[in-house]
Order: sequence, then structure tokens, then C-alpha cells
Amino acid sequence: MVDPAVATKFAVRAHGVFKRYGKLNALDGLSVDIPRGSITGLIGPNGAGKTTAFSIFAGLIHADSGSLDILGMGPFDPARHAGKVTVVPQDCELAPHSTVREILVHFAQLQGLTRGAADRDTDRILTRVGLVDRQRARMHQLSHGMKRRVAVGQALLGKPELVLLDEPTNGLDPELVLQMRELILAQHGERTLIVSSHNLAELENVCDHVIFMQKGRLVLSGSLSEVTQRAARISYELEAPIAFELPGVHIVAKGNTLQVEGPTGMSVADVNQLVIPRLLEAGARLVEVRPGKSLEEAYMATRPSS
Amino acid sequence: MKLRSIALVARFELWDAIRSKKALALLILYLTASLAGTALFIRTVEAIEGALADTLAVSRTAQAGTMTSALFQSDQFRRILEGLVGDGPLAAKLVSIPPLALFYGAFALGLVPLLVVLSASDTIALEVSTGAVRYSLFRCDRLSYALGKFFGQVGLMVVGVFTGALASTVLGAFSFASFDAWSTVQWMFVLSVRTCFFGFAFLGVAFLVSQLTASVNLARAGGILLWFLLTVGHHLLDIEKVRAWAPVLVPTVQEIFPGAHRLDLWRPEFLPRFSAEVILLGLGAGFFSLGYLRFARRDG
Repeated sequence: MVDPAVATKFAVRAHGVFKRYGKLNALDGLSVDIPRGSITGLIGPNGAGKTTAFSIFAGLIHADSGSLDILGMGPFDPARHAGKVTVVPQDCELAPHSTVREILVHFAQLQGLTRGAADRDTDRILTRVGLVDRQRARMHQLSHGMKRRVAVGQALLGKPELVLLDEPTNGLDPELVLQMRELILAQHGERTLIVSSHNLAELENVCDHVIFMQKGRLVLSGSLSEVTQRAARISYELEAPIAFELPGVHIVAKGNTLQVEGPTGMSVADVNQLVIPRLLEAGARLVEVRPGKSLEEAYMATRPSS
Repeated sequence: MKLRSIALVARFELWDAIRSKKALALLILYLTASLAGTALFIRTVEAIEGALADTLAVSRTAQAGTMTSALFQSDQFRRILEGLVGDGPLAAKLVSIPPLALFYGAFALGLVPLLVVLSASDTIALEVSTGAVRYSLFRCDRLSYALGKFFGQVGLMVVGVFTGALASTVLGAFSFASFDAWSTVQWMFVLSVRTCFFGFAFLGVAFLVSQLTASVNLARAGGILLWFLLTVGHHLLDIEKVRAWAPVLVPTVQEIFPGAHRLDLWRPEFLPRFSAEVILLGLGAGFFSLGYLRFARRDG
């Protein structure tokens, strides 16, 4: 029996989940808790188990062992979760001979909407993903980007509480990547999103919670600010390197960048108030101020050194 | 399992299958074969009537069908039919069926199983291999999905069989001089329904292979192989020497071959025909269920 207080706090709770394909452990005791209402980035190298994790969360594949709780209703079961959990799978085709509209209406009805509600919701989604003028086109007539938009659109049908997006911007041009980002950000607060992507810069723009995976296991998990240590460390990019010290502040110089760790309890603004005037007094020409590590730096710090 | 989900998936499958070039090609192939077969049948009747007219030293008619009734009620034709079905009393009853319907029934029962297997063997395998199945499996349970796909193909089969019957009937109406329209239409309908029962068993076979593998090529090959084994195997088990080798086992095993029940579909008596139809439905459901045992557990 799931504790209701815990159930409402987390959209996904996975503990000790194993999945083996022959000799390969795709998931090797994965344990994650994903906060409700968050946009969580799932990050890891190829073969880390991200797609396997997604598939198990959505009931598409069966875990060998472990416990799983989706939206406080136990492991995925279409009888309980249909319409509440949706997926944008990676590299999966939609029916090539059906039209965009037919596919969306069909999926909306399949997850429980009446015909009328399915039609109205399809209109909403077509507008959201910018495919109103292509709704009568058959899937095989669409470009890769348009197909991806249909794939994302079908995941937003109805009122899902949890949306799993597996590499949603894969193969998209920059304009579409931007549109996808805006679409994802627009969901914030309405539902929980889990996004898997290799584009760490993109994830940094949309996520408030991140999970690093490696070899089927959790390596690191936390809010974006915790993982990138935004409150603790600030990088000052200078036009040219200078020698700079400040009592009570730990400073590491790396080329043109000064990495400053402020005293415990100091906010980013407080550290900037302390450091920036003195940097300018010392003749530094400041190019950029970046709180914390980048997500990429944080991720690479967890990778085993080659 | 939800009936609504099954109906939705079935409807979508039917429309999608009709639009897919493969299913459309098979439908057109069946229609063409029906029309060609019917035309050939009409030409054959015409030739026989012409030969009869020459023998009787009367003038040949311009259109086939003037002597058809007498021809098909003759002892010679009844003996031919008896040789084909291997059952004298049944042959005597079959001659009362309008000739065109008799021909179409035999034609459909022969061709529909192969076309059904060609059309449906890769239904689920294709969706698993392309990943399309994933869009459905988080919206409905696997049984509803698989049954929906199955009944969508049943719908396609029904459309094909009845369209072929209609086309043959229309061709016959224009080609036969003494065309008994009402009786022919009735029998075309009845025999089309019975053909669908027979095809249902082979649809079960198609979905058995389709659910066993994610490889489209393996599914198609498996479907054709199973169709061949079930069709040829049934005739092999009918051989006297084979039956004598295991007089209890062989007839028992033969019951799982759809072909063992084909002749009963022609019987005018209700009970043997009804039993055959129920068994064929059961065989279709049984083959489907065997495949589902695998699909229920496979990673989607």
C-alpha cells in the first residue's frame, strides 16, 4: 500500500529495477524517485538504459525484478494508467497510410475520450504542434520533423499526468528544437515530464530536475541547481587571465576562467557583490558570469576517466 | 480487456489495411481472380452447351445458360460432383445449388485461406518491428489490442469475400441466359458466410505466427508454411495407409486441420454444418490464443 503522502510527492518511484537481455544488464538495480510536476532530464551515454527505463515506466516492457510505482497507482497497468501516462517513443513509426488527424483522434479515443472530445482535443493538439494545415496528410507524406511533431502531439492528448519523452528533438532542425523546448516548458506545472536527450545544453534550458544514468544504474539525481552546484560555485569568464585572490573565498583559475566557491550560506548574488567589484578593480575585463557548472560539466564529472 | 478498445483498434486496422497497398493489392487480386474464374466457368459452360448442341444437331445459342439447368441436373454432372466430394448423397443435394454459386463457393473456399494468411500474417509483427505498437500499448491492454487487430482483419476478409461474390454475381447476371437471380444471390450470400467461417480458422493461424515473432519476413514465411502444412497435411492424413497406421490418432489429429471440416460446410443439414462452423471458430480462437501467450509476455 503506497503512502498517500509519498504517492502525491513523486510521479515515479523505482527501486531495485533489473532488466536483463541475455548477458547484458540493461537495468542493474535502478532506483529513482521523480518529483511530481517536475521536468526531469534523464541523461546518460548510449546503452545507459534510458530507453529501457522509459519502456518499463510505461509498461511497454516487463522488468525482471524490482518495485515500481507510477503516479501512486503501482506498476503501469493500462486499466489504471491509460490516459494518465503517455510516451513519445524513440524511432517508432506511426501508421504510414493514415492521416495525422485520424491517428490523433484514434489515440484520443483509445485512451478514453468520446468521439466528440477526441475531435476537439485533436484540434487543440494540431494547433499546439503547428500541423493544422497538414492534418489531412498521410504520415508517409510528412517530413521527419512533422512526424516528430505528431509523435509529441499524441503524447499531449487528453490530460496526461506523466509524459515520457525519449529523445524528442532527435534529428530536428534548430527552429523545431526551439518549438519543442517551448512546448515542453509550457507543460511545466501541469504535469510531470521526463525527457531523455543527448543535448545537455537543451536539457539545461528546460529541466528542473536531472538524473544521470550509467550502465543501468543511477549515478546522480537531484534538482538542477543541486547537481550543477549553482548556489555554491560561480565561473567568471574573463577576456584575459589575471592573478586574483580574495580572503575567505576559494578561487581556482583555469585559463581565462576563474571558478569561485563562495563561503557557505552565501547566495549567488552575495558572492557576485563581493567578487565582481574587486575583479574590476584588479583590471579584469569580465566577459560572462555563470553560476555553477554547466550540466555538461556536471555530467562529465560523473563519467569514469578514460 | 475492453470491448470499446477492441472495436476502436479493429476499425482503425480495417481502414488502415484497406489503404495499405498490400491489402488493397490482395483485395484486387482476389476480385480479379473471382471475375476471371467466373468468366472461365461461364466459358466452360458455354463450350459444354455448344458440344451438346452439336451432338443433338440443334443450333448453338449466343449466350451460355440456356441448357445449364438440364446440364447440372444430369446424372453425368452428379457423378462428376460425387467424384470431387467423395460423398454420393451430398453430391445429390449439391446439384440443387445454382451453378454460379456452386462454383464461387468452391473457388472461395480454396483461395480465401491463402489470401487471408498473406494479408494478416505480418499484422502484429510489423507493428512490433516498427515500434508502432508502442503508441497503443500504453493506451489499452495487450489483449484488446491483439483482438482488435484480429477483428480488423476479419472485417477485411468479409469485405473481400462478399465483394468477390457480388462481382461474380453481376458478371453471371450479364453472361447467363437463364440466370436465377434470387436463388443465386441467396446462395452466394450463404456460401460467402460459410467461407468466412473457414477463413476465420486461417486468420487464427496468421495471428499465431504474427504474435510469435517481431520479424516481418519470418511471420510471412511462417504463415505461408503453416497454410501449406495445414492444407497438404490434411490430405496426407486422408490417405488410407496413413489412417490405417494409427486409426484413432490420425482422425483425432485431423480435427485440428481446418480442411477436415470444409466438406461439412456444404451439408444442407443444420447440425453437421453448425458443428463445423463452431469448430472452425474454435480453431481460429485456439491458434490466436497460442500466439497471444507469447505476445502477452514479449517486450513491446
